[in-house]
Amino acid sequence: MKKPLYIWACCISLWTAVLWGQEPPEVVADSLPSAVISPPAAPMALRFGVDLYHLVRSQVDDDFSGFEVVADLKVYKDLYAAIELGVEDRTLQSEQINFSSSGSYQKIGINYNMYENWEGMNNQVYVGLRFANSVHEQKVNNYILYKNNPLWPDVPVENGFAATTYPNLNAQWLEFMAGMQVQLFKNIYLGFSLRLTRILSQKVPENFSNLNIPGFNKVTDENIFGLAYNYTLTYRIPFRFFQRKNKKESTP
Amino acid sequence: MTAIKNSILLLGSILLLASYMGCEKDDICLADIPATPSLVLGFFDIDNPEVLKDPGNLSIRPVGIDTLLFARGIIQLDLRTDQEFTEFEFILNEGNSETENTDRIQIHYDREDVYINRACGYRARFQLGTTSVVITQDENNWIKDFIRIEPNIDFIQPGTNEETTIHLGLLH
Repeated sequence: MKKPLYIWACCISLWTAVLWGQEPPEVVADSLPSAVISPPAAPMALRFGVDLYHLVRSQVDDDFSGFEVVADLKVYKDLYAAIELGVEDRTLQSEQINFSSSGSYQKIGINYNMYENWEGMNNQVYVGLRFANSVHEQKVNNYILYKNNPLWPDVPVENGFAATTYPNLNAQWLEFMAGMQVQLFKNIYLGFSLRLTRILSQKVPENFSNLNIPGFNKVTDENIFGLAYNYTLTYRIPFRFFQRKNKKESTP
Repeated sequence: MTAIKNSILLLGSILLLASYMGCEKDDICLADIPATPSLVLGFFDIDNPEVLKDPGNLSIRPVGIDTLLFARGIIQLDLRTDQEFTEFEFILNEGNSETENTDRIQIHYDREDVYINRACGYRARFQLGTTSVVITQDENNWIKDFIRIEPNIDFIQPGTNEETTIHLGLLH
C-alpha cells in the first residue's frame, strides 16, 4: 500500500497549503451609514466530481481498477445531501488465498459543515453520515491448502474445487465520516474524507467470505468496523433560481 | 480563528487515523484449528479382517518423492492434492535382497475444499469410493486385498471418543 499512500500524502500537503493561503477579501467601509444590506445567502449549489484515488490507483496498480463519482447538493444553511457511486475491481493476496472482488457500490447521506467561512469563500470542514450498499462478486483465483507438516510439496489450487466465482453478493453498511472541501479556484474544489465504517448486513458466499467489499475495503473476521476514504476533485454548478431574495432594507 | 483551530484538529485526527490504516493486523492461523486430514491406514489379517496384523519390517515410499518412511502399526499418510490419486510403495524387508517384497498401491479419492477463515484459508477433506484402492499386481503380492473402513477422511470432531479413525485396511 506504499505507492497510493505516498501520492495522496503529497496531495494532502498541497491542499493544506491552499487552505492556509486563503485570505479574506478587503472590507471597504462605506461612508454613507444608511445603506446596510446583508449579503445574499449563498445560492443553492450542486457539486459533482470524481474520486482521484480511484483514478490514480487504476493507472499505477495492475491489481486495481475502479471509478467513483461524487456529488453533493446544499439543502439548508450548513447541510448538504451527498452521494457517491463507484465501481471497483480489486485483486488481493490474503494469506494463502489470492482473490478478486468486483462490483459496484452506492453511498447516500448528509454532510454537516462546521467551518465558518470568511465572506465570499466556500470551504468546508464537515462531519457526515452515509448509508452504503454494494452489489459484488468474489472470485478465488488460487490458494494453497492449509496442511500440517505435509508430505507432498505445496501446489496452489488454481482450477476447480474452491477456485471459482461466487456471484450475487451484497453488503450494507453505515459510514461515519469527517472531511474537508477546499475551494481551489472559482468553482473547483478539492476534498478529502475519512470514514469509519460499520457493516449492517451482508450476503456471505458459500465456502468463502467477503474478505474485501468494494466501497468498504477490508473486512476483518471478528470485527465489523472498517476504514474507508476518498480524495475528490469537484466542480460546483450554482443554481440561481434557488437564491433567496434579500428582504432587509435600509431605513432612511 | 476557532474555525482554523478546529480544522487543524480535524486534519490531525484524520492523519492519525490514516496512519492506522497503513497497519494491517497480521492474521494468525491458530495451531489448534484442524488442517487437511491424513489417510489413516491399518494392516489386518487376510483370514481375520477385523484383527490388526503387524506386517513387520515395513518401509513406505511415496511415489513421486525420494523419501523412505519407516512405519509401525497404524500409519498416517498425506494424500496429494494436485491430482486425484496418490501412489505408495509398501516395501517389506527393505534392503534385504532375498526377502524384499514391494507392492505398489494407488489410492483414489474425491476431494472437497472447505473454507476455514481469513487466516487459515482452505483445508481439504477426502472421500474414498468402494473401488478406491488399486493394488498393482506383480508376481508376488504380499498385500492381498483392502477394506474400506471409513470412507470420509475428515478432521476429528472434538468430543468424539476415537482418537484415530482408521479409514483404510490393507489385508495381508
